[in-house]
Amino acid sequence: MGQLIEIRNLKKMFNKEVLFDNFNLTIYEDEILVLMGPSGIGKSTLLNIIGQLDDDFTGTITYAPVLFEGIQVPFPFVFQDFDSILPWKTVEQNICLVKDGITVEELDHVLRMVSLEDHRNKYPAELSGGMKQRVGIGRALICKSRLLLMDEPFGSLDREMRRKLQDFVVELQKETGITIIMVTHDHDEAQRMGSRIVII
Amino acid sequence: MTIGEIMEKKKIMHKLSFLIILLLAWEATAYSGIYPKALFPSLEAILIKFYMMLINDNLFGKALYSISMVVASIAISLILSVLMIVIGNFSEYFKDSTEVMNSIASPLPGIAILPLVILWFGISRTSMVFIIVHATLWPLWSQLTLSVDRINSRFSRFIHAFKISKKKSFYHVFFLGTKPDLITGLQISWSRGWRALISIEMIFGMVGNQTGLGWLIYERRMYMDTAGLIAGLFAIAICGILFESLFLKAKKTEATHGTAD
Repeated sequence: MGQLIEIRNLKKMFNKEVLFDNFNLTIYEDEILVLMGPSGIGKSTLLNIIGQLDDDFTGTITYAPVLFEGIQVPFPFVFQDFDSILPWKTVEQNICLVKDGITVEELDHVLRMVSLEDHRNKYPAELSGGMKQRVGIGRALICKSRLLLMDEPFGSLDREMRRKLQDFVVELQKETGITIIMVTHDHDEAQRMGSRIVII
Repeated sequence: MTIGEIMEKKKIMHKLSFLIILLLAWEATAYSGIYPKALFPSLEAILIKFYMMLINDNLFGKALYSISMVVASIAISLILSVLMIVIGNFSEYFKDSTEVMNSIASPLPGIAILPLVILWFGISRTSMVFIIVHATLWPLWSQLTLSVDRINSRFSRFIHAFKISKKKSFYHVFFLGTKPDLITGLQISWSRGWRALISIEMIFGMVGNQTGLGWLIYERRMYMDTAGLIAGLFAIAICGILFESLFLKAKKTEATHGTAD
């Protein structure tokens, strides 16, 4: 497995508190890396740093060039609470919003992958929580990036739906070979999904 | 028929029956002779007057003039609100200052600043527009600011993570996201602007060569034409109801198009 991202000597302060000091981590291709730890420890902050949403830190992060080659959105996120799904857009409009020049074939392929082909013209209010989260996953997959960042993506779902989506994401990862970095505080979820678990 | 449709039908029946009771009570009072006919005219006298005013007094034109004044002022308020929000996005100082200005100006009824406006601009169309803009700007700005802030806090991480362009996020996220609040803001502005206009028209009378519905009812009172006065009030209420139902329809369309989550 080749290296995708290498974090060296990361130091991050938040409200005068040290979140990370001399933190090192290597992320490899084709893995599901789970970041675990109690609330407020900095899991989501680390995800934001990896996803280039937060540049207020010291240390070095080296990205493999392959992450950026021909890719419009190198670090697509799947957020918690599916709050970032636009309620005024249909499923396919939500997915198409994040990338320019999506072909019909690409869209159909992604809708099939997330099993939403029969719901493409529905609005989020007409979908269940699990379906909404699959819209979020579809939106990230359409970017065709090598990396997927998931911030407690199943936190607001019931147990059964969580299980289904956990298996779905593991299958999806095997199928596509995409690298997934996922934040969770659920031990079961981490063990069920992660090929590697990092406890912060 | 669905439960929703039955409930809707029931609601309409309630409203209609109330209207009928109200009209019957009016007619009974008018014919009872408790009050003189000059003060309490019958419904048919009012309706005949309404028709006569439509034919002879250009009631329709007067209503259109009044509506156009409010619509033009709301358009100015909307442009100002958007500008204020855009500038506020770049300057924290400007945003805070606008909030102070809103706290000062929002509770002031349009009619309260009328003496000052007359001193500044005289009895002119500019004064009328100034007062209606004052009445409509602040509710519209407040509603839009709240909406933009809410959208921003909910979607900013998404916009940054997916590198959504400014143009795309302006239309697809902010404009479409604030549309329901924009409609609510316009609805509040309309009712505040309409009330302000009718009050000003009653005081200003003729400005230029045109008069509106406010002056019409004031003029009728001077001629002791109570039926005409009430017919004028009808016209004001009809305009209000028409616009209210337009806003309600727009809100309903928004809700069925999935805007509400």
